[in-house]
Amino acid sequence: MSRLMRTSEVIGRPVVTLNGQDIAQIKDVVYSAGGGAVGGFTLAGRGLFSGPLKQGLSWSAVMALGPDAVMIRDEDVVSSVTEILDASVRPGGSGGNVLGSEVLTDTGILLGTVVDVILEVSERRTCDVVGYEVSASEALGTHSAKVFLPLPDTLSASGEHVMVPAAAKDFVAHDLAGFGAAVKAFRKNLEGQG
Amino acid sequence: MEWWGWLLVILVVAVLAVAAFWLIQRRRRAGGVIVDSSVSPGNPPQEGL
Repeated sequence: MSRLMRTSEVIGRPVVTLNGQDIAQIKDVVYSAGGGAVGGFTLAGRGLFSGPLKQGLSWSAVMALGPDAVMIRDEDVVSSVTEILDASVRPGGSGGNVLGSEVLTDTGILLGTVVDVILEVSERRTCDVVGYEVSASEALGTHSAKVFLPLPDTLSASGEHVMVPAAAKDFVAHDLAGFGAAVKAFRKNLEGQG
Repeated sequence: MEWWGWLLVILVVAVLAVAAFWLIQRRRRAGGVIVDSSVSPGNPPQEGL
């Protein structure tokens, strides 16, 4: 059993230790293009005037990604933010923010602009990027509407463009409830082609 | 200028400074989704495209 969630639901969520200490909040979600696995999070302070922290949280240190808080064992599991970025963003990768990036197919068709990223959190304690919520272009026939676009197992993205196979536009979902099935069908379709 | 005029100026500057700092920190705290942009083994670079 797995569940889908938007990264916007995770960003800003408090990070709480099992002692009940509210130590930070989630700032950025960091994931790898090679497989879409979430490597961790960068953190920001909880105070009204606090900014980004130099500490980050690796996915392996997360005990639970609950609807209201991200639970960790204690403050010791928090690591340096450079370790989080190094773990997911390999040397040579510029590691851009995909929010606001344009989605292009491998045939050069603009499908829209990324407004959110969809995560799949499984019971096996894995967390992967499985799709984008996109403000659709005319190519999807629903100009400016928000739709869900499934992603293959291996992603290709930069801070400016994200690439998807042309077949992705045939598996667009209009709500998050039906998106899980669309991702499975899309990936099965790709396997069939390969 | 009267003393209360200077006091008013100081108060306005202080409030504006706090508001500006808060806005800057809010922007710095705003989240994103950072991706590894390096080419993965499954998507080798294709020359000549």
